[in-house]
Amino acid sequence: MGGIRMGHDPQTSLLNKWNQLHHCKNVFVTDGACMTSTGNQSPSILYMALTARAVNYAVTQLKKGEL
Amino acid sequence: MNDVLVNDSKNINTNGKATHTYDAIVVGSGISGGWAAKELCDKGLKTLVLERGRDVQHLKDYPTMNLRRWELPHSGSITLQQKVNNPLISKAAGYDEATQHFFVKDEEHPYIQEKPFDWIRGYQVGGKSLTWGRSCQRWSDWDFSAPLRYGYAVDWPVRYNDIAPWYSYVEQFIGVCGSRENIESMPDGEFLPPMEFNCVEEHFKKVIWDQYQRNYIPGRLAHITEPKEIHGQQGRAQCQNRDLCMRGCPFGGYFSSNASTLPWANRTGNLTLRPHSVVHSVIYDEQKQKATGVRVIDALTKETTEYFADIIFINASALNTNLILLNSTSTRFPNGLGNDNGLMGKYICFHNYRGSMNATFEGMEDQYYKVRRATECVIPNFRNLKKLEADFLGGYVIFSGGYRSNKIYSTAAGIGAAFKEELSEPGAWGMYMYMQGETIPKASNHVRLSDTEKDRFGMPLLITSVGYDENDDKMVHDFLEQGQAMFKSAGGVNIQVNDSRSHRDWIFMRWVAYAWDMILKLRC
Ligand SMILES: Cc1cc2nc3c(=O)[nH]c(=O)nc-3n(C[C@H](O)[C@H](O)[C@H](O)COP(=O)(O)OP(=O)(O)OC[C@H]3O[C@@H](n4cnc5c(N)ncnc54)[C@H](O)[C@@H]3O)c2cc1C
Repeated sequence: MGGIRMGHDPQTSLLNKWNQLHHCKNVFVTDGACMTSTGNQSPSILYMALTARAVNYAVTQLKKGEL
Repeated sequence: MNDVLVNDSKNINTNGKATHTYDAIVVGSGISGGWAAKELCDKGLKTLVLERGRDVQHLKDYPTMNLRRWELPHSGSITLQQKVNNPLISKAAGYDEATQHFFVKDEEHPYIQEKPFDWIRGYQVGGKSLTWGRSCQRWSDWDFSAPLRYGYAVDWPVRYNDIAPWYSYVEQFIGVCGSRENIESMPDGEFLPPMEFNCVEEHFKKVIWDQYQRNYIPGRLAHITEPKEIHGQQGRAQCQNRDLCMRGCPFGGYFSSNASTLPWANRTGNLTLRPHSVVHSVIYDEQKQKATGVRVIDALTKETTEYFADIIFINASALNTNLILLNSTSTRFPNGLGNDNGLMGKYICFHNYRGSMNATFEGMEDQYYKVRRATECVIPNFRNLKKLEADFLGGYVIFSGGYRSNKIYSTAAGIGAAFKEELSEPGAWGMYMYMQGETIPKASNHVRLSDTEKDRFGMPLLITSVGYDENDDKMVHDFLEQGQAMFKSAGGVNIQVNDSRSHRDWIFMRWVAYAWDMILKLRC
């Protein structure tokens, strides 16, 4: 997991809170690469939840002409 | 810089840009890519899913789903030759004669291990959703806030409340069984009825609550124990407790992309699924300052094609997603797409399964269990929740289960009727536990691209430089100590503990137990 982690700050992370690349907004990463830390729980349901959430955001942004 | 295919325009098939243009592209069709596809298609976007492996259609492409062990050429075992050829994948839990076609063979897709790291992959439509263990616990806010509170990694930009409604949304669709327990470190979800405990599990639950105030709960797994309308709409039915999940389920009893999200997305009429499509890199347009599409190598013809879309989701599984984005170089992003800070590929972390143990429990021999339950039990994390109280960072969850072992057979009487009679008797109750521990992300645990070595598609090989540290050793030690203490408190004897030091000794004890169990079940 990790390697393309989520975070607040583009200096120390690659993705924002919507799993969007800080520097390339129409690319989303919602698999295990986005993980800032691993937690102890089995991770896949979190990937699914983050994915559904990110798609919802992406499509809203697309319709607003922001992507 | 990375590949001739990028610069060599004669190899690129850009004919008919319009026919290669979609609203959205999803790379990978596994657990996360399947969800991206479903959601995008549901919202009306024409969506192209690019999957490097072959197509696997629900039911049609599960060749072993209804086979009995004795109908398999080697009763389910992997041959010595196959083990020699595939030492890495042979270690994966659930890899056997009946499931091997869903795992990537070692020699087919090499990578470079700077330190030993078992990278288990499934390259096909559905990815690892076919063979996953189906465990689905929610994170708590203790987990989302731990890096900030204890000063490791960086702060998560989300908290439990941001994700909770999406957990519910997903759980309702995929079907997760479980019990409502009101445990702070493992929040409840939208559960279907839980699987039952057996008598030794009931006993253990009581003891560890009374003596340690620790919970022992039925596992939360993506199994349909009581189908709802939404599952019927997916064409999925109740789990039949066959415990043959990793072969693909004829009932759609557990969640996989193949049984659930992909056919759902397909029914919207918005999905195009293209198997045999190895995504090479993302195309970045310097003028538009955004990505315009992806470069794809056809796995069968090796021809390179470009596909275009407004939105791109990369869901190739953690390390392959790193590989694709590191390989997506341009003048603007010479080190990988979006990689201005140089951190891409760093802070790789994983789960630590090193510790496992087993014990025998005397008594209760007049009791047995009814079904081949495909789930196990869980002790939610009890370490470093509200404060740092251990000599290591992070926490661990324990998976566990009770089973009836086989008898210690005596062959004194030879192999006649008496021996057969003996074989039909179950042995003592046993229990196993294994840990799933957090590892702490650090810059030195990283992946990067090889400058010199490429795979058969011309993609640079991935170098993995990921290993254990002292924090992991301490956590394993703690689990082994705590686990033994709990077993002893519950009257466990012949306790055997194991620190495997392997990254992916997935469910080792479970499969030992399973093997024992099978011997008994084969009689039936
Ligand atoms: C034995 C085992 C048991 C597990 N048990 C559990 C469990 O109980 N609970 C849990 O939460 N997790 C479990 N996991 C982990 C789980 O399988 C993964 O977290 C999950 O599958 C990740 O989903 P994904 O979509 O990121 O990747 P995958 O499901 O692996 O899908 C990725 C897809 O992308 C494709 N792909 C890769 N590269 C490219 C490319 N360049 N171009 C095009 N396509 C590409 C692959 O072929 C694959 O189909 C288990 C894993 C294993 C191996």
